[in-house]
Amino acid sequence: MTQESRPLASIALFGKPHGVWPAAAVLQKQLPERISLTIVEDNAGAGHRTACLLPAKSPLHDLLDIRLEELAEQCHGRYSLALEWQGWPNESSRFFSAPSGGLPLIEGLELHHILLRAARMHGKPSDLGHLYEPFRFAARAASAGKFAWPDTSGLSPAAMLGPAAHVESSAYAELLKGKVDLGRVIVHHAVPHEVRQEKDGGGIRSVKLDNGISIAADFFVDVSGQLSDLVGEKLDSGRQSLAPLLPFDRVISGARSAKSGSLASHPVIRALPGGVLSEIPLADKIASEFLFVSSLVDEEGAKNAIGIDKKSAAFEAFFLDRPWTENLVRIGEAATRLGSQFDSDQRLLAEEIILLASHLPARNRMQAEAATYNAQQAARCEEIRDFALLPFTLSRSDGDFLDIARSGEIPESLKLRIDQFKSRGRFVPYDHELIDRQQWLEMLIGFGLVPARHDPLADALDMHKIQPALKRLADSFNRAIAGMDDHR
Amino acid sequence: MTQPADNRVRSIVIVGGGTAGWMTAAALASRLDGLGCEITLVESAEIGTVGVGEATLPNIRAFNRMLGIDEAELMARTSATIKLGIEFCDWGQVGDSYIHPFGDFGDAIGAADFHQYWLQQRDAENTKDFGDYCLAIRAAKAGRFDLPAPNPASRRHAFAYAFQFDASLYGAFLADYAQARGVQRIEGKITDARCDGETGFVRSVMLEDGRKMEGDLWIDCSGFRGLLIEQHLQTGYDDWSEYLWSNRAWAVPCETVAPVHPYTRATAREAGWQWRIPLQHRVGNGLVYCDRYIDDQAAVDLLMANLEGEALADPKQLFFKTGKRRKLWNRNVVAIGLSGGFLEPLESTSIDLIQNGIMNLIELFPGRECAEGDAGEYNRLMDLEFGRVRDFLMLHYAANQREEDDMWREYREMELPDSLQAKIDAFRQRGLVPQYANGLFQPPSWLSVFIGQNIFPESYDPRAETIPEKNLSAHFVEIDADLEKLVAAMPEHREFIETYGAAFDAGAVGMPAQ
Ligand SMILES: Cc1cc2nc3c(=O)[nH]c(=O)nc-3n(C[C@H](O)[C@H](O)[C@H](O)COP(=O)(O)OP(=O)(O)OC[C@H]3O[C@@H](n4cnc5c(N)ncnc54)[C@H](O)[C@@H]3O)c2cc1C
Repeated sequence: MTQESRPLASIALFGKPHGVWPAAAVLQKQLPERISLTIVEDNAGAGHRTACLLPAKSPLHDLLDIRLEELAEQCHGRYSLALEWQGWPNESSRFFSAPSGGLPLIEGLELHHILLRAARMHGKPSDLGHLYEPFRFAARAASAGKFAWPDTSGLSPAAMLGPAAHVESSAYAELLKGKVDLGRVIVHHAVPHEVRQEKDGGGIRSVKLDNGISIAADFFVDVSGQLSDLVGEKLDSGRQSLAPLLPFDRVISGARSAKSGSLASHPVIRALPGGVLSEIPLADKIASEFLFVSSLVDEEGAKNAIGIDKKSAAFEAFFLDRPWTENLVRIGEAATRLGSQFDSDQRLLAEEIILLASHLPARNRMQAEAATYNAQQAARCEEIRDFALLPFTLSRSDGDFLDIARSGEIPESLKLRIDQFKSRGRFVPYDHELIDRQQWLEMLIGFGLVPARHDPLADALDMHKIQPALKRLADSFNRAIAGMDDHR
Repeated sequence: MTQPADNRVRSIVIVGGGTAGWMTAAALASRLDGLGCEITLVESAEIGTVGVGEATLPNIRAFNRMLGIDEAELMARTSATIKLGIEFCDWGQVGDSYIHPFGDFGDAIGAADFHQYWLQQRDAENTKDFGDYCLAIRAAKAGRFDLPAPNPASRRHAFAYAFQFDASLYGAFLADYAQARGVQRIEGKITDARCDGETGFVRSVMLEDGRKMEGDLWIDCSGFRGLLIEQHLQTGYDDWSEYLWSNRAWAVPCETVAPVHPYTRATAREAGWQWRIPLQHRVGNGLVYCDRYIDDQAAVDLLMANLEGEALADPKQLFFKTGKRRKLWNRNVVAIGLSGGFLEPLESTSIDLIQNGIMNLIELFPGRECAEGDAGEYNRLMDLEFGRVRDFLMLHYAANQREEDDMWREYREMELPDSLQAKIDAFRQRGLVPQYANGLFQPPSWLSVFIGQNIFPESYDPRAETIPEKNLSAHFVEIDADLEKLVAAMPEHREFIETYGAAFDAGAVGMPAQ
């Protein structure tokens, strides 16, 4: 941009309610009043989710004084300690994956090295997963149908729990909208129709909406992707398709009512022929989303999978190399789409909003802010992306989409993580991790990876002395689980 | 069955008994205890050690803790003083001075980082220098010290400390530690090495007196020469002298005349910079320079003319090439210390890089076949750290406004690596500082150099505007007053050393008593 440098005076946000309101709430809370906020809310249009999963640890909620404990009541939702994977890694398997704090080191070593050594001593390294099971505290609690809030004193195993809230997206958007002082923002209900760029081909000057109104601003935030679609290649964001690894090209979603007693207490991710079905129980209904490969499942089959008469929409998993170009930043679904099999998309959105708030441009020239934001966002996005890809990469079931997913070339960062774990049980830490190390380890082990070696330092341990310590740990977990309330 | 039985490393040979060698020996002896692994260290009195390397970074305390070393005892045996940071004199412009502290600046005032509020208030009447809002700096300047408070909520928690010690005494201290835990020390000069014809692995070395030593894993701590990693494995060296031009140094100890400061000083000179590291019984000094801009004689004269006290020895000259080994782990040889690479000692990073190398080696401790994946990951981690340190060091040279000397002018005009240029641009435009979870230099370090060397952002975080000026100013006054009180309550540096039980007893380590 070659225009004169002047202080930033206006920001316009575009997107669907569940993305645009959290962003607006944070920006309004943190920005000086002299910077005006315009919100273009697109609450028509299909495609956005019925439900979303909100993780326990959320800097966004902290900032807006939203307590996780209140979310479900306010947003017709529920809580759970874990996700259940059905049909992964093998057709008949059930596997719980939960945010699980961190296990204590034993003699300076991570538990899985010690257990692997024990499994080896008995000539059965493949027993690692079995030996590890008693120590998967949060996952076991969930699979036993139990629930508790994390123990904030940090003294009991319950400190390791990281419950998520599953809520209705529209109610969540309303809650967040309630955090915005609407008297201080301009709101339009419309969709962007045409973009006018600066004469020199730089940033966006204004956006014409489908109701004829034109929005001019210094800085544009696209939460759901419509604005980016209009801009197209003109502000190249380096879109990277993940289709070779997440090979779904259609998505169908909706909700059906269900009696509360008949609902599973936690979200379930099911591998079905031709696609992945995720089901998220809400207060009195179940929200389903089926991502599928259209060459393997027809429209009728997709409807049957979710049990609702809805139409499917196009889907492509992707991320952007440069979500912020010139004066346009794409966040949320405009920047990344990984599918709903985790809380990935919602979690990334929350992180991006916080990151954006700390990189907000001071002036209308914003290259440095953009470059720093892009680098920081990439690190966060990579981890969440890798975690979302992991089950596909490690699954051992044969058939349709998994075969396709496994034939894709996995990102270097994930490859290194898997290779290091496979060869020596080491977990590679990167900058800006959002997911518990423990949850990663449980997924790696749970999906069947058995390291070829354990940490050589484990050979120095006297296993007879270690055994009682392990037993004490497992017993304390057993006791804590037995003492927890039934989820229902 | 444990690991495939014949794949265990049974013998480790550490080549070299300098700081790197003995730190490695001590750490491996402690962490590999019980594995039945023999550790031998070979050193040559004839060759000796580099004999410098006296200022450290706070991470060294974690290393000592891992070994179960009592800090006061360590200080007493190595003539150590406390280090709260480095004072940089004349770096931005002649006459400037700032301290790069081991501690945070300011406080959490609002949504934006503290420095953003300070930038906004910088020209206000009552706003003090940035460094005045940092406890470590205030204590350093006052010559006072006390241990950080354990409670993270306390303002006295927000700093760390390191040591300034006698490198040879630290080596001797760790040698005692390691030998008490079974490390075998061999005195002798290695003259040759034999490699496996198939794998290229080093299998044995020959000593000058005809003895032969064998080992599964070799740690090359042989100093600049890189005896195994380079002379035998010809690993190659990434020469970074195009980025950091210094290539020589003179070092000399002198008597203590001033009070013993709890910080190191680095003073910019026409063609390099001079260090001053106060220990309990003497002061270490040296001049690091680039021979393109000053000749050796002029350099040593400059150093000797700028000593505070009487020189205690003849100056010693050192030569180096900035850079790092292309692979720090090659086959079954891991290079730790100067054999792995060297970046000038401006920020006391060498011992820290040694520690990093050791910790990564322990985390990636291999089997006898030294899997490629282990070495590859080790090299990735070390490359990352070397690269980040390089950028941080370069910043000191790039951000200067000194007009009178060729070297400084040329540094200012040089093309910087993209990674560093991006960091400078981000700060210059909007006060953004590098954020990484696993790097050595965190935001306070970058901030101190940026601001200390007169890089001021064109704008600041808009979130900083949300606090009314009056409230901000009250915050600043409160922080200032609080820090003043905290510093006043700290004992003087000397007094702390004595009451901590850390006073140096020269006689106890076989040195002539003063
Ligand atoms: C000018 C200067 C100032 C420095 N200041 C600092 C500082 O303030 N802070 C900091 O952290 N670092 C500093 N360093 C770096 C620091 O000195 C080194 O990192 C540290 O001393 C480790 O050195 P080393 O053990 O790798 O090598 P050396 O001390 O050189 O040890 C090499 C060892 O290998 C042995 N050896 C070599 N060849 C053979 C052979 N053929 N047979 C047997 N044995 C052999 C030698 O006898 C010796 O024991 C500085 C370096 C320089 C050059």
